[in-house]
Amino acid sequence: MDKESDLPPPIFKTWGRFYAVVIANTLVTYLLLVLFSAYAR
Amino acid sequence: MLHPIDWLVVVLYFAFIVFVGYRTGRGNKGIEDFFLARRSMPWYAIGLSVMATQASAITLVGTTGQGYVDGMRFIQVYLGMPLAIVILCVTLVPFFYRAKVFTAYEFLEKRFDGKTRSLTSFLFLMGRGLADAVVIYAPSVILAIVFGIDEKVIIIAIGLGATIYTTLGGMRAVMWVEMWQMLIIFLGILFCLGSVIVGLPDGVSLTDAIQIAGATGRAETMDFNLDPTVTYTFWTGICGGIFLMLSYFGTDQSQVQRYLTARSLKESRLALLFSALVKIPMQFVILLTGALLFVFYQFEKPPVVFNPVALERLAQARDVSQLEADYDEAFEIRKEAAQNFADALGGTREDEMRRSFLQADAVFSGVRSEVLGLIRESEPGFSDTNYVFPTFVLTKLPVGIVGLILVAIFAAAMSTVESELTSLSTATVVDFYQRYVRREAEDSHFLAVSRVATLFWGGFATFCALYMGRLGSAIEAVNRIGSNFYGPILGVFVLAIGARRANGHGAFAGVLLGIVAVQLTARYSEISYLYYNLVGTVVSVVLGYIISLVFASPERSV
Repeated sequence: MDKESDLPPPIFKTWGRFYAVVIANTLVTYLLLVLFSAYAR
Repeated sequence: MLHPIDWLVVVLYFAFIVFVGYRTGRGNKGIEDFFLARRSMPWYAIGLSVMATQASAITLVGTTGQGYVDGMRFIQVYLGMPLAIVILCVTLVPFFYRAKVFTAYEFLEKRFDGKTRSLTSFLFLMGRGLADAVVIYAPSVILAIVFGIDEKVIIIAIGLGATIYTTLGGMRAVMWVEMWQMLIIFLGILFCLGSVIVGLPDGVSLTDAIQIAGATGRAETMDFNLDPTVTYTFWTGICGGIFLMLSYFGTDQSQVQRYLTARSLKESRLALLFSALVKIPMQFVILLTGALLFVFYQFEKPPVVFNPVALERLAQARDVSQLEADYDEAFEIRKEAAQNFADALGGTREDEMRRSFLQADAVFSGVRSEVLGLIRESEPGFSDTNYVFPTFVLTKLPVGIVGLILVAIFAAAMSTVESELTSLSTATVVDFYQRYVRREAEDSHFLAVSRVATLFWGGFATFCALYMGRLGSAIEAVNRIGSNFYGPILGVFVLAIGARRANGHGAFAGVLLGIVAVQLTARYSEISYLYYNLVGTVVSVVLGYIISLVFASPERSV
């Protein structure tokens, strides 16, 4: 397999950073859901 | 009952889908073309296709209904999905991609043996074969009742429509069609949300509506209750949901096949991560639409039961005029209480108005429950949850938009059906025909066999859907059992990539014992169904590993 083709988008440099961004985004989503629940209660 | 313009929108949709399927599906020369689009797909098409596969018509119709009846807590099912996708991108996806397999189960023969591959593939065929019929039948019944279209016409349009272009165009056609179908679904969802918000009465803003829904608990999206028997909580979503999503995205051929079509491993990962990022917000919008529908129907009188046929049957069987009068009165009282509550929001009388609104809502719900109870005397288990959204679409939305939403429901149903068809035919041809009947032949031979297999599964699903009314309970039972296979199958993949000493005997026995464990858990415990995959995975890994050690023999390792 072509090594080049497995590089992440340049902005993230490594897949690890990309995954970290996805996980951070997920945690922010959880927080937003908690805030939504609290607001609507 | 549908306006000619709405019919025109539906006809244009079918013409467009056939056109895209025909344009993109030409030139299949072998099964790598037919089943994997020659591993040439870009990430955005795969990502949307992955989402379209997961979003069935019942997802669209049932989830909005769920938001209306039960609120937004259902979103917690998806909390584990992004984390599961990251785990898969690190573990199984590279293994599948580098092994250059056609099916997830083929990988198990490379790692273990033929019997483990055949067992897991067979379980997939059993589980998914009949599920496809349910995917066609369930929305057809609802659309038939609400829109007044013949049920058989809808079943044939969805079933045979999807079968024809899947058989002719193969995976490439299916994935490009699915990409468009998912965009139509997105558009439909946004139109619905917009329509509900626009439909709120003057003086009730979106934030007021959220507060009204929230007062009844319908805007609760996070529940940190630790009780494992509560179905939807943060913990079931994280602990059970991760295993559910790992099983679905990591071992279900209908999903694995999508990212095997990528032109590189990077595209596979990007596609999955894209769908992981979009899924929770999308489900939020669908559920919010349902919760806001509840608010909409505070000010517009909803039918006492959203399934008009069931209500008519009840009215013929007994006199319900008193109940209807009670219902009308309870609605007027609740409407006034809701308006007072909306007016009082942020003021000194908010708590008082909230209490009187909740009291009025309880009386209103009580009358409705009484009617539902009478229907359940002759139809046990009756629920009108899935009829809420289509009823709103037909009775409250303008001409043209009704057609668009109907098309979005068709797109959701067909995208799931065609994904199932490609995965079922791939497993049939690659895991059984090529493995046991004919290993070597011309490309044209395998291509022809693949088309026959697709046609067979499409015909089978459509036939079962047409006769679902008679076969219903049997098919549902098999379907329910089928959904319990995923956890144990995930366990085998965990053994495959995580336990060097695991062997074929252990993996094979692990799956079977995992299935038994899930069945026993479902039967004798009260825990949320979201934990079943966790139980199945743990049992199949632990027992599979122990049995591997007992029957230790030199095995290939990855």
